[in-house]
Amino acid sequence: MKKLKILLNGIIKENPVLVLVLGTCPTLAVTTMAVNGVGMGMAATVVLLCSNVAISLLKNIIPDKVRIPCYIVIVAGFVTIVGQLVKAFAPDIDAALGIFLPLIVVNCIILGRAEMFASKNSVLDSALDGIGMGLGFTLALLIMGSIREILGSGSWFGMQIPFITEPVGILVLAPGGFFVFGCLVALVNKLTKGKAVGKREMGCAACPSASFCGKASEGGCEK
Amino acid sequence: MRQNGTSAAKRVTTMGLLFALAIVLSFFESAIMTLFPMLPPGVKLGLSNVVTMYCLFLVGKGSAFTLVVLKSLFAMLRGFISGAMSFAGGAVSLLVMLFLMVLTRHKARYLALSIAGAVAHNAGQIVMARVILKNRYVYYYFPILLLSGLVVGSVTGMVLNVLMPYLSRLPTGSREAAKSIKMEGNNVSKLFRKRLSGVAVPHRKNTKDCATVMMPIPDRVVIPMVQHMGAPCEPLVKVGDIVKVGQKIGDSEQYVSAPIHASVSGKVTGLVEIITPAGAKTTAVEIEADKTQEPDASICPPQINSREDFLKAVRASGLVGLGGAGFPTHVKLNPKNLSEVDTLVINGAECEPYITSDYRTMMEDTEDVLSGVRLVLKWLGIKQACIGIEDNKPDAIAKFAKAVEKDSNIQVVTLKSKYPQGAEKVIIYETTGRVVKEGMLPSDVGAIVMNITSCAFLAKYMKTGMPLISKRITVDGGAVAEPKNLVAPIGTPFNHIIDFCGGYKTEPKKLLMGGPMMGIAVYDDSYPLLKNNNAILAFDQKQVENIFDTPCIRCGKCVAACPFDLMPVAIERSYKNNDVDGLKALKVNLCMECGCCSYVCPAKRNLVLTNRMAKALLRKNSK
Amino acid sequence: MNNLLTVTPSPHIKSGNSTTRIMLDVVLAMVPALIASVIIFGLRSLLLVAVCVVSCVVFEYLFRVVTKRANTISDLSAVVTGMLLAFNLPVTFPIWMAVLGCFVAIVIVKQLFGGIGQNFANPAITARIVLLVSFAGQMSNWLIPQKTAGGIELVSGATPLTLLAEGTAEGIPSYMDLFLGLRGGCLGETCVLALLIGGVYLVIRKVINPIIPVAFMGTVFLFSWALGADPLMQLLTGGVVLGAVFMATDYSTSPVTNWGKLIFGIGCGLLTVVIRQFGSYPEGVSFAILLMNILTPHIDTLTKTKPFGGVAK
Repeated sequence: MKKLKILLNGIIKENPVLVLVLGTCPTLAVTTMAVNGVGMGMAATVVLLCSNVAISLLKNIIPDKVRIPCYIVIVAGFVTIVGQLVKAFAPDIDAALGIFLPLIVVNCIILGRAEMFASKNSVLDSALDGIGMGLGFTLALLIMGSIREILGSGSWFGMQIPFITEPVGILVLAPGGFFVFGCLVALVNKLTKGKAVGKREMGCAACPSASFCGKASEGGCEK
Repeated sequence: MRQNGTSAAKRVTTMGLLFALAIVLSFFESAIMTLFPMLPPGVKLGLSNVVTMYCLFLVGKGSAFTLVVLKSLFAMLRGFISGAMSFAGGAVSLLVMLFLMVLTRHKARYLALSIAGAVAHNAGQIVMARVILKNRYVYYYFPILLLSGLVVGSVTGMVLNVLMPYLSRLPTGSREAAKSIKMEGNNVSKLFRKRLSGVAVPHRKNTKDCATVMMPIPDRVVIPMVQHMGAPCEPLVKVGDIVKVGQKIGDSEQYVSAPIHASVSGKVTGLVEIITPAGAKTTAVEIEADKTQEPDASICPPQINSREDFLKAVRASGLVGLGGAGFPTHVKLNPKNLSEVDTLVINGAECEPYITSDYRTMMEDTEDVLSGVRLVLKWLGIKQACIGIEDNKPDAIAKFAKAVEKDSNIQVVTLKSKYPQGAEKVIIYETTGRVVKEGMLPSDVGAIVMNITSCAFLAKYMKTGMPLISKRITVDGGAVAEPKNLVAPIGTPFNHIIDFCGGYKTEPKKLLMGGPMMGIAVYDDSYPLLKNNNAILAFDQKQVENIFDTPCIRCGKCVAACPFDLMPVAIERSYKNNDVDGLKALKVNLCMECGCCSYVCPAKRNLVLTNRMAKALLRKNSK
Repeated sequence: MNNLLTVTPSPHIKSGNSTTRIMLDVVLAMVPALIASVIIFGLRSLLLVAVCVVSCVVFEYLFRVVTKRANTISDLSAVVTGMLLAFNLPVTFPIWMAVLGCFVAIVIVKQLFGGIGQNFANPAITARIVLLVSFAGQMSNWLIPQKTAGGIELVSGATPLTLLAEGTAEGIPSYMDLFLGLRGGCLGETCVLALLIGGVYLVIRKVINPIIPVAFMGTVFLFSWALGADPLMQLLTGGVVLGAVFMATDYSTSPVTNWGKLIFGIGCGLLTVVIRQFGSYPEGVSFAILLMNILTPHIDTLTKTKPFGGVAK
C-alpha cells in the first residue's frame, strides 16, 4: 500500500523533527506547554497540506531557478489565512504562539517537503505526505511539550498533576528543551535501530564536524 | 627612499594605516594620562613613537618623516602651537635616531635608540617652546623632561624589543629591512635566558663508586655490522678466517659510516643474521675466541701531521658517538662550516638514572679525556672547550677543575642535575646559550658536541693505535646480583656479562640496552654488546611498570615537562584525528623522544610512542 | 631463556603519579572544608555530602555498565565531583534534588561527552546551575549560623552576598566571621580558612597550578575595588574562594599552558564581578566559570607554546 506508506512515513520513520531534524526552532520554542505544541502542530499541518497540494499542482509551471521565492509566496499565503483563522477562533493559542505562527512561513519542514517531495510527485501523494509530515510534527511537539510541561511545570494541558510537587524548572527553559530534544532523537534512533534516514545520505560534505573528524578521510561514518 | 617592489598603492595604504594607528595611540594615551593628574605637564607615554620607530626601522626613512609631518598636521587641528610642538619633537627625535643608526652602522640596540629618541623629542619641544614663548626660562624645565624621556624611552624600547620579531613579519615592512634585524633570540645572555624544562628523575647511581673491572674474554662474540648511525658495513671476512684483535672485519664505502673491528682473536665461525631490538635485520660476524688476544700486526699509533690525517685516523679507529647515539665521529668532526665552529662542548652530563660509566671514565681516565680534548682542539682549530658535568658528580667536577687549571681555553661548566641535560641541543643551550634552530646542526651555531668517553678513547687510540674493540658499561637493575662497572669486548652476549655480575638474583622481567629513559628493551638476553651501548639494566617484577594507560585528563603536565616546549597532549589529539597540518604546526618533528612527557603523565599514557607514530605519519604524507 | 621478557617502548620508568593519586589529593584537600561545614551547619551536611558522593559513584558505575565500557570509578573522579557538588548546595537542600544534580553532573556533563578528560564544562558547576535554575527556591533557602552560648545555632536568613546585592548594610558579618565561615551560604563555600588550607596543600603537592586561583581572586579583588565595592568583602563572601581553588582548576576544562591559565583566571574574575555588580543574580562565580570553560579550547589555540628552536614557516 504505497499511499499508506507515504502517510506513515512522516510519523516515525522520517519524522521531520526527530529524524530529519528540520524545524527545530519552533519545536524548542513552543513546547513549553503541551497545548501550544499541539496548536502549532495543527496549524503547520494545515499549511503543509495546502502548500504541498498547491505546489504539486503548480510544479510544472514554476521555473526551476526561482522556485524558492515562489514556494515562499505560496506558503506565506496559506500561513496568513491560517493565522487569521487562529486569531479569530483561538486567540489564546495565538497569544501563546506569538511570532512563531507567522514564522511557519520559513519553517524548514514546509520548504523542505516542498522541495524534496511536492515538486516531484503527484497531487495526491503530496497531500498524503503533507498530512503525514504534519502529523509527525504534531506528534513530536505533543511528546516534547508534554514531557517539558509535566516535569517542568507540574501540569498537563493546564491540569495540575497531583504528585509532582517540585517541578524541575530548567525543563521549560532553553537548556532543558535541548536536553529533552536530544533524548527524544536518541530514543528514536534506538527504536529504529539507526535505520532511519540519516547520516549515510548526508555524507561528509554536509556534516559540520567533518573538519575535525578522523573518519572524514576514510570516507565517512559507518552506520 | 624608494622601496623597490612596493607599489604606490601599497605605500599609500601603509602610511594611512600607520598614521591612523599613531593618532589612535595618542588619543588612548591622553585618555590614560587623565587618570594620573599628579604628573607634570608634558610627560607622555610616547606610545605613538613606537609607530614612528617601526616606520623608521622597518618601512623607510622617508615614510618615517612623512609620518612625523602628518602627525604634526593633525596636531595643528588643535592649534598652531600644538602642531609646531609636535613637529619639533618628532623631527628632532627622528633626526637623532637616524644619526645614531648611521653612526653605529645599524648595530645600535632598540633600547638605546628609543631612549635617545624620547629625550631628543623632549629637547626639540623645549627649544620650540623657547622660540614660541620667547622665554628662555623654559630651559629650566628640561631636567624633568629629560628624566621622563629616559623612563618613557626605556619602556617603549622594551615594548619594541618584545614586539620586533613579530613586527618584522608584517607585510607593511620592507623585506630587506626585516632581514637585517638581528634576531636577538640567538645568543641570549645568561641573565635573562629562560631555563629549559625537564624532569627530576631518580638518580639511582648505585654503582658510582664501583671501580671498573675488566671482564674475562668470553667464549664467543657476535659482532653486528650495524652499530652506528649511517650506512651498514659489509663484512670483510668469511667463515673459517682467523682474525686477530683489532683487525678490521667490516667497512663501508659510504661517507657516513665507520669501520668495525674484531674484539677478540680467534676463528670466524659464522655470518649470522640477527634482528636488532629496533627491528632491523643485519648480518653479524660470529667469532669463536681462542683466548690468546693476539693483536693484529697492523696496529700501531697513527702518524698525524695534518687535519686530514687526524680525520682519517678518527675514521680508522671506528669511533662513533659513545654517548649512545652512535653517530660516526669523523663525520661529526668535519662539518662544512668548520671555520665557524668556535666551541667544543664535552658532554659529561650522564643524566640517565643508573648509568655511571661516563663518571668512572671521568674519575679513572681524567688525563685521557683532557688529551683527547686538546687533540681535537688542536687539529680542528677550535678556540675553546666547555666540559659540562652535572652537579650530582661533585668529585668529578673538582677533579676536572683542578686538571684544567693550566688550560686557558678549557673550562668546566656545572650543569643542574635535570634530565635530559645530556641531550645535544640542551647541553649546547645550557653551556653556551646558543639555540640550535629547526633544520640546523650544532655546527651552524658554532659548536660541536662530543661525549666524554669518546674523547678518552680518542686519546688512547692516538697513543696505542688499538681501534674501538671494548666498552665500559654499567650493569645494574633490581634483578642483577652484583651491579658493577666493567669493560667488556664488543660483541659479548648480555647473558655472559650478567653471569660475570653474579647472575640474576630474581627473575628478570625486562632487559634494557641503555638507560631507562631512552634505552631499548631487548627481547632476548643473548643479544650482543654494541659500541654505543652504555649500560645493561635488568629489571625485576617490581620495577616493571604497568602497561595499561587510562584516559588523558588534560592536566598539562606533559607540556610543562617538555624541554622543547612541545604540546604532547595536543599532538596526541591531532594524531588520533589524522590531522597532518595540525601535527606540522605543532612541530612534532622537533621531538627528541627523551621521554619526559611519558614519565610525568599521571594517566601512564605512552606519549613518546604517539610522537613517534605522528612523525611516521608526517613522513608518509610528505612523500 | 625460559621466561619471557617484557618489551615496551621507552621510557621504562615512570613517575609515581597517577590519576587516582591526584584525585585522592583533591579529596584530602577538601576534608578541612568538610569538617568546617559539619561544625557550622551540623550533621545534615555530612549526610548531603555522603549522598552526593554515593550517587555520583553509582551513576558512573551504572552508566559504564549500560554502555558496555570499562569501569572507571577507581580513579576517584566521581568522588571528587560528588563532594564538590555537595559543597555547592545549601544545607537544607532536599536529598532527591541532590541526587538529580548528581545525575546531571556525572551522566549528562561528564559521561555523555566521553568521560574523564572530555567534559566540556565543570560537572559540579553545571549541575549547580541546573539546580539553581530548576529549583530556585530550595537553592536559596539559607540557614545562617549564629554564635550562641550553647554553640552554633542555625536560623534562616539571607547570605551576606544577597544582603550586599540588596544594598542593606546591617546583618553583614565582620571580616573575621566571614573568614572563619560564620555566615550563611553553601556547605563548602563558607569557611575560607579551610578552603585556603586545602588550596595550599594542593599547590604543595603540585596538583594545581597556583596561577588560576591567584589570577581569579586577584582580578575579583582589583576589579571590585575599581568599581567602588569593598574588595575584601567581595572576596570573602559568596563562592569565589571555593570556585577559584577547586572548580576553576579542573584539568579538562581549563587551559593547558601557563599563559592560558592566566587569561582564564582573569576572565573568570572579570565575569564574576560583572555579574555581581551589574547582573540580577547576587552570585556570579558559577556562571563565570561555566562561560570560561566553554572558551577554554579557544584560549588553548591562542596560547600554544612556542617550540624551542622552532622556525615559523
